[in-house]
Amino acid sequence: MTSKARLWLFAAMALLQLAAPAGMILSRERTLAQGEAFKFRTAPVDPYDAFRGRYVSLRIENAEAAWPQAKAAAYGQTVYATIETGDDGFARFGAAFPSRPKDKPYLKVQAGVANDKGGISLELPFDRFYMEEGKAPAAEKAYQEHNRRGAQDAYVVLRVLDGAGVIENLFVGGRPIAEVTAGAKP
Amino acid sequence: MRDQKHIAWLYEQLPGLVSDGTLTSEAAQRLRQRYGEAEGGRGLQAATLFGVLGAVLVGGGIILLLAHNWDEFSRTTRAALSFAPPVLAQAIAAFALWRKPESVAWREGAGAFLTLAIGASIALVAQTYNIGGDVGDFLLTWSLLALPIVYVTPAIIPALLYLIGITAWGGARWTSDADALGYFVLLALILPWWLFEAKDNPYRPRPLIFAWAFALLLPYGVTASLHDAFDLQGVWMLLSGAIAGALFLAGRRFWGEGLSRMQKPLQTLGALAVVVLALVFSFEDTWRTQMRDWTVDASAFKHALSANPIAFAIVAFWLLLWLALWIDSLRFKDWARTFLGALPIFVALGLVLTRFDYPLAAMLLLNVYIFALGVGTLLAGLGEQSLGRVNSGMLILAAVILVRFFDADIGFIARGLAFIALGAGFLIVNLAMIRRRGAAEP
Repeated sequence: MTSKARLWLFAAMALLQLAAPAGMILSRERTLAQGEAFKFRTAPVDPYDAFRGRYVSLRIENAEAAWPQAKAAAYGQTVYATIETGDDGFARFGAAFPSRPKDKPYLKVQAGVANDKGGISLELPFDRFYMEEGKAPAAEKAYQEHNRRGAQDAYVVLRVLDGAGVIENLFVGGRPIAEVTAGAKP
Repeated sequence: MRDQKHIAWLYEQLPGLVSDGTLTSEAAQRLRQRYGEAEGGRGLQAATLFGVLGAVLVGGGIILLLAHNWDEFSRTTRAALSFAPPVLAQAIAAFALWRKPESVAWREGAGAFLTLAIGASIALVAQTYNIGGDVGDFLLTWSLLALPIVYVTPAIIPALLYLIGITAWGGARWTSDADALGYFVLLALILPWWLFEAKDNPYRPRPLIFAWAFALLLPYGVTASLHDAFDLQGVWMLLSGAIAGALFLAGRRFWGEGLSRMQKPLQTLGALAVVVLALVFSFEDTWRTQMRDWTVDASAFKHALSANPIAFAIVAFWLLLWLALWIDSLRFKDWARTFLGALPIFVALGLVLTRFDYPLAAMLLLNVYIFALGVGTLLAGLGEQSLGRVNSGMLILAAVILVRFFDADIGFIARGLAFIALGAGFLIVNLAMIRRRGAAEP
């Protein structure tokens, strides 16, 4: 390889390696800045990722939508699920469509399996909330304590823009998780 | 004092010199005896090893530090920080490539560090924005971003990390659907690099080390990515036989002049795999299980084929690749090589026999195959006065004798009679050989 060709290749490689994280950052920042906020009820638990550290794994409640199409949805198919806010202030999914709906906020997700209500379950990409090492177990504990008292009041605030969603924060007992776990020792 | 660097260079050149007729293989072996073992090849000197080790440790340390997920950092700080590891590593790589172009240690160390720095960068972004997805998705992004490093530097450590990354990705996808087939696309992306490196001299450290890693990791990748096809009626037997045979034959074809074990990567691991597989196939139970599958659902094959045609196309590709290499081996008139590479033929015959309700015949056929392999290797070793081959032959025979002795599927009487008959055969042949030798030496 000539030196000049290598220089160009190197430059292209370096650019690609920086563009990948930059692209990931920019698209999320845009959603956080301009997206509409929704509250989804969830149940946090504490697993572990070797490369990316501690997080609480999120199970969003009622991750299912109606499927007003004649043809059944294939597992893993991309669908667009509309989001509605209920009287209690929490969001839930309305109906899922194979193409982007026009007039309602929606999320681009993957179809799960058919449920017994004639709809489908949704495979949501929001399955984790990263926390400082040592604080994820504390977050899970805080949630469990609230849960025992019958107050299942953990929720995430999701910013949604053009079908993309980014988690803004996780709340337990009405307070941001960082506040709840502030005293926790790592 | 001997210059180890030059001896290592000489050993890289010897196979080429033998194949173009400059040296006979005896002369090459005498040269090896004259100079003794080279202490590490050119690519594996202490400076390189320590450089790579240092780079890997620092890179891994950065990943772990970032994985702590510091609460003190704001989102903006984290986003900015995401670019620090790759920018730093790219600067070091540029320095290595243009200021230290002769230094293997710099190139390998910088390549390894850059590979890990990319991982640190995308891990931090994923943390900051709580991006979902499992370890598999993360590994895929990482591997693809690291691939250009292999071509630009060119260094072996990033190539090995890529190979490990895509294999782990295939493994992480084990439980999911057909997209693990992407493993073969990912594998194909690095093959041009390997071909390019091996073009002039396949015995140089880089293509050689890659060949070892390739042959070691391939079985994991294949089983992980083709698990749909694997579960089906003898496909796994044919496919694993074809891959083992293809590895062995390709090794003999492209690293055929290798003088030391280290210089024979594919044929060593391929031959080992053939023997292990043949041992597994020498149990009647292996064949009986296939028969059960057939009787349970005869149409399963058709269903699986139409559900996942690409998986079966890949299986067919491996079978064709093996067949091409096997037919190619015929022209060398090296019958031991052709026989060892012929395992898939015996597996296919065994499957046909099992299909017609003769699993016992299939089992016997494979036993004859592995027994003949052992005896053939032993005799070839004795003929060439090669202790290594004699030992290999003895090991194969010992293994097959051992598993048959304890094989509970066969009755004691049948086992006993077979052992006595075989032993008597050996003694008679031995007697005949001694007599003939006695007649030749008056």
